[in-house]
Amino acid sequence: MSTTTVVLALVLGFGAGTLSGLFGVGGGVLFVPTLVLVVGLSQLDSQATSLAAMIPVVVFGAWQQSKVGNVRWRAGLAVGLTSVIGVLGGAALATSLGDELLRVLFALFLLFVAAQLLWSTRGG
Amino acid sequence: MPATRTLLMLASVGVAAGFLSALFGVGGGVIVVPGLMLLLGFDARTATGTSLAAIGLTALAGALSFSLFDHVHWNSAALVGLPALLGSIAGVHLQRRISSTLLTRLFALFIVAVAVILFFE
Repeated sequence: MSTTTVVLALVLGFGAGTLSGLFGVGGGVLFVPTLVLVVGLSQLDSQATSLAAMIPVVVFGAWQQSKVGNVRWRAGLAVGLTSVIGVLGGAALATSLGDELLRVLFALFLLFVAAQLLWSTRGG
Repeated sequence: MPATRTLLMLASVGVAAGFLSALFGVGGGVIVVPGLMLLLGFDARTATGTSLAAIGLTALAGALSFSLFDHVHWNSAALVGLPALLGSIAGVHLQRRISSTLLTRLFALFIVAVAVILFFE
């Protein structure tokens, strides 16, 4: 990995965190493109690595939110634990799709996220 | 709301979010937050906070599943994840100062641009 790549990844990582804190959009939406376009990982490896990358951000965020009473732990635990079932299915599907198809689907997912963001500003 | 019904709703949100999370390498908040609000009547703040707690488990399960097949590049994860931790603190502070519809719309357009670039990558 070249120095330029490392610096760019650090900067974009910081930017991804800032935007996620600012807009409430998870880091993954920005981690995955960074890992694909800057670090040069495959689509599948970028997505897998994105999940690992967001762990510190999410854990810290949950801790911060719990301090101001915004976390219902039992509900969070129920959603989190049952999500493991979905994770196994999603992981199996992601690994079975080709990298090209996965990237196209991810791009479509980004359009969905953008639409949801625009929808949230309606009337504003 | 009866306890069983609540649990089933939480579980359906969880399974759907986990599937999307592992399929696309995202947290799944895009499902959990509206899911908790629409199905379980959470307000936006509580939905967002609770979603973060849930996603911690989702992301961990996803990362561990993919790491079994050597798809996780831990060095790269640290490279973007650790500065993101600092960035998220900055982002939350910025959010308290600015709450702009224009900014959100610009961000949405930026995401569209990224999608187009990836599409042709």
